[in-house]
Formats: sequence, structure tokens, C-alpha cells
Amino acid sequence: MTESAPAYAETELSPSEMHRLHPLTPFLRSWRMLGAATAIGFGFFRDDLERLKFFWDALRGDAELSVLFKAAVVLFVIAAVLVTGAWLSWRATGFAIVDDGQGPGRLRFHRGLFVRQRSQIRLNRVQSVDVNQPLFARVLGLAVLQLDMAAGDDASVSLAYLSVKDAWSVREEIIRHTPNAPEVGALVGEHREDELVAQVSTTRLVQATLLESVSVLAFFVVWIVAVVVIGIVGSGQALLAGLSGIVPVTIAILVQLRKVLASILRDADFRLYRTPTGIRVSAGLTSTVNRTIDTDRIQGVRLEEPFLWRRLGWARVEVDVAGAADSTQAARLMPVADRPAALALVRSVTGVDLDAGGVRRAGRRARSLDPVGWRYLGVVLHEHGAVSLRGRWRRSRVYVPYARAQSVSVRQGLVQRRLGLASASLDMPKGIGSWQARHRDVAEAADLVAELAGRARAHRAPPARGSG
Amino acid sequence: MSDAAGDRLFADPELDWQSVSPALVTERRLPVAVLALLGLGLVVGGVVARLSGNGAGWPLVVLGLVVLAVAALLWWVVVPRVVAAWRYAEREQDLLVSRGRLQRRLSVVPYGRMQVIEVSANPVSRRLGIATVMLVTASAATDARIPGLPTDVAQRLRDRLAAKGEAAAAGL
Repeated sequence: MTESAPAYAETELSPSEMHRLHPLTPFLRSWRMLGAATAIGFGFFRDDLERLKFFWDALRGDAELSVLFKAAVVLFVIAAVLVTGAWLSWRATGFAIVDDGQGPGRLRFHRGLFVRQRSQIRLNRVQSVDVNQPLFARVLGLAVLQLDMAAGDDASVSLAYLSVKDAWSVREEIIRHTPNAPEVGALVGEHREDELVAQVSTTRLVQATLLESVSVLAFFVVWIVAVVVIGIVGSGQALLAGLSGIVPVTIAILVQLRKVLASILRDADFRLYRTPTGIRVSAGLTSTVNRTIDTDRIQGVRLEEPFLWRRLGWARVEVDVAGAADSTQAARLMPVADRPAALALVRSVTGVDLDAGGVRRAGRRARSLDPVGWRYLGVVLHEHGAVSLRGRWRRSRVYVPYARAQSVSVRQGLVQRRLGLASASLDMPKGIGSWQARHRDVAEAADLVAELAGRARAHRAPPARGSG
Repeated sequence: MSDAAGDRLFADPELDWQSVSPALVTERRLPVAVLALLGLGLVVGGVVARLSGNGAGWPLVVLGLVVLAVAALLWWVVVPRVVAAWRYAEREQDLLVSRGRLQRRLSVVPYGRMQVIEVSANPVSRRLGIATVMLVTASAATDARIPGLPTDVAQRLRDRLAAKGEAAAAGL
């Protein structure tokens, strides 16, 4: 919750009680701008610079050197202005954790050089505090502190940049003010005391990622061979014809490879810690992310087994957390692990055994609608949530707690109607793959809808922390 | 095959289903009328072109006739049926919205999960005295929209739902 300034205008933070962000912040903030300025400057003076192709030529005539000098001065001035601006705005930026005994502790955040912004956050509304290190910050030993707020509040606040040490100590300070503080208290003193639960070796991560994207890689190899063969054997015209197709396909392949590489970089050095309220994930090679996952806020878990992993008995676990800042990326709870370990992990965060029996499979009639995977469609209703199974080649099991289901819906297309089938689903607040009971017998679908609706109604989500 | 079961699923006869106002048919027919005018224009244009001796008029006429036929189908068959299939029922704990003719859908929304109840009306529906009631939950997948309710019914429904929602308030 961010409240606007007026009410607190009289309690302007004095510089002494205000924490500053790290002094390198202005440079880090404006490095993009500096880059842009350099590029623009280069474009601007390119014609002149071209005349300097041979530096010795330049030395002979004064005129050209003066051009170079002018360019340097202009660039320097732009850089100086940018850095000064960034520095001034850094001076005007600061934060303080206030605990004056009245009400919950607050984080006050000042920013803005010309338009002053004074916001404050009630710390009991904070859902999680993550310490992230983007690449450039990491090089300088800096970190970003990311606060996620309870749903409905302004989604997140980030303090960028702090030194890593400060970031962790501010994090602990903030956690001390959240409602669960007493139980946390003993442990917050040192984040490194969180118990390390699991860790993924880089070798295995690379193997797993390569196995998963083996089709792309195979295509890549075939493509390179084809291009080379055309290049050697083919006539000029054949080569030309081949080349016309090369560009788009190469781009497509490169995009895929980039994805593969990005996912390896993101999940490298993956560690899972148990904290008093949930789980903390730390991962990343170039940029590191520290994400705290509160088990109470989990609104979906997915266990995936890509085709080639199944032989090796590997699986991946992803979770969907309410109110998380980066909703685009379902949080990896475990990029790759042995299946039993993955199942145990799911059991520890949700209390549900994804492998439990009692699977209600879709009937034979589903066959004509899903000839490949019909045998693998199924649902399991547990006490507090439901699991849905699907996928012949790439198996996936999705678990959602009833408490987070928003509504139940069922639909029936023309073909399904003819076959006497219908598909039911639980509508979740955004998610990793939805919970669906596909192609069920109509009567069974009706039972499912009634049962799911009843259970969804009966299960209430624990109220958002501190919202009461 | 077992359509009786399907009917029971999407329109349980034991419930008190409310249908939407026939005025919605009028509203939904408006775009169809535009389409019909377009078809008519094509036909007239084709005939004129033919009469003025420019030759290539027939394809236009045929296209216009096809458009007219589609418009007629929409006007007399599709729109009335779609509107007739749209209905809702209030149960003790949740609201049911059933709709669709070719692809049937039913949404069950517990009152406790409703976050916002929106009543809206565009200029045309205001003219016709109808409004749309939409239930918003934390899930974007929830598809509980009831168009074509007479304004006073819509307002009463909104108030009723709001009261029930408050009673059942169950957070996220």
C-alpha cells in the first residue's frame, strides 16, 4: 500500500535518518543513456570521422583534429550532464524504515528531483522480499531489493541499487516487521542460515536442457549440414536458392538456441532453501535472483516430464505464486530433479502426492477427440485441491488448491455434444497451465462441476497477510 | 446421444433459470443490419454495372446475394437462438451463467469469489433499456457476463449479488 504524501508532509525525513541508495547507482542508471549518447554522437560526427580513416592524415591537418576534439567535448558534456542529473536525482532519493510504535512499521521512500514523490509502504502488507542481481549490477557488486505487496496493492517496489550486504540487511529488517516476524525472528539474523534443501549441478542442468530441446538441436545440425553440402556440391544457383531460405530459418534456430541458453543461464547454480514461512530459491549465472516463495500463496504447481527425461526418471517442478512481481515467468521450483525428489518437493509445499492413485481417467469416447493422448487424460480430487493429468509424450500434472479457484466452468463443443462429452475446468487467477478435466462423460462432468463448485466454495484462502 | 444429460448439465430443470430480455435480439441484430445493407449495396452496384454495360457485374451480384443470405441466417436463426440460450440462475451459494448454442458453456461463480460487479450499457442498449452485468473474479478465465438485462433487473441483480458477495466474503 502506498499512501500519498500530504498527510506525512510535515514529517520530512532528515538526511541523517535517510538511507541512500548505493553511490554507483547514478552510473548504473545512466549507462544506457550514455551508450545512446555515444551512439548518437557517433552518428552525428560519422562523416567527419570518416575523414579520419588514417590517423596520420589527421595529424597533418589541424582541421580534422579539431573535429575530433569537438566531438569529444560534446560527448563529454552530454555524459557530464547525464551523470550530474542522475547524481542529483540520487541525492534526492532515499528510504528509511520507520517504526515509531504506532501501528505497523513502514518503509518510506523518497524520490524525484523535480516532481517529489513521497511514498510509504506498510511493511505488514509485504508478501515477499527478494534480492536480485542483474548482470551489470552484479559486476559492481550491487543488488536490487524487490518488495512484492499483497494482491490489490501496488504490485511491487524496488530499491535499486544497494550493495549486496546492505540489501540483505535491509531485507532482514523488513522481514522483522512482517506479521510472521516472531517465528522468523530467530532466523532472520543471517539469511545464510536458511537450510539448503536441494541444489542442481550445472552438468545436469545442461544435460536436461539439451535433452529437452533435442529436436531443435537436431534440426540445427541437419540444417548446418544441408547448408554446407549445398555450398560444396551445389552450383551457384542452387546455393542462391538455398541462401534465400537460410536467413529466416537461421534466425528461427538462433532464437531457439538463445532461449535454451537463457534458460540455462537463468537456472544455473540453482539452490533451494527452506525458510520458516516457505522456500527460497536462488539461481542464475549472469544475473542472480533470490525469490522467496511463501507456501501459503501457492496457487498452482506443475510437474512436467518431457519425453526424453522420462527414461532417466527426471522431472521439473514449477509453481505459481499469488501476487508475484514477474507474472510472465512461472517460478521454477526445481529445474530438474529425480522424479521421487520432485514429488517429495511438491508434497512438502502442498501436502499432496501427485502420484497418488484414484485417478479418474477420461473414457474411451475421448479417443476420437484426442487420439494421441486420451489415455493419459485424468483428474484426481484431493482433500484440499485437485490434480489434472495430461500428455502422452510430455507428461504434465497440475495441482491447484480449491481455495484459490475463482469459478468452475464447463464447456461442450459440437463434436463433444455428439459424443456425450464435456470439459470442465477450474478458473484460477492467472497460471501455469490450467486445471482441466477434458472430455468427460456429460453425467460425470455434471458431478465434477457440482463437486468442484462445492469444494471451491468451502475452501477459503487464508486471508492475505496483514490485510485484516 | 445422451443429449438429455447435456441439457441437464447446462440447464438443470430444477433451477430457476432467468432468460435475458428479447431487446438483446434487437441490439445484436444491428451489426447484422449493417451487413445486410452492405450486401444490398453490392447487389445494386452489380446490377447498375451490368445495366450500364460495363460487363463484370455478375460476380458482384452473386457476392451480394451470399452476403444477404448470411445476414438473413444471422438475423432469423443465429441471433435469436444465441440470445435465447443465454440464461442465469442464482443459487444459494453461487451464480450460474449458461450460454452458447453450438459451443455450450456454463460458469459457476461462488458469491464469495466475486470482486467486482459491473453494470454497463452502451448507447444502443441504453436506448433499448437494457444493460450488461459482469462478474469479475481474480481469474481472467472467469467468463460470467449477462448481457441484455432490463436496467432495473440489472440493478437489482447487482445489489443482490453485492449483498450475497459481502455475506460470503472469502478473500482471494
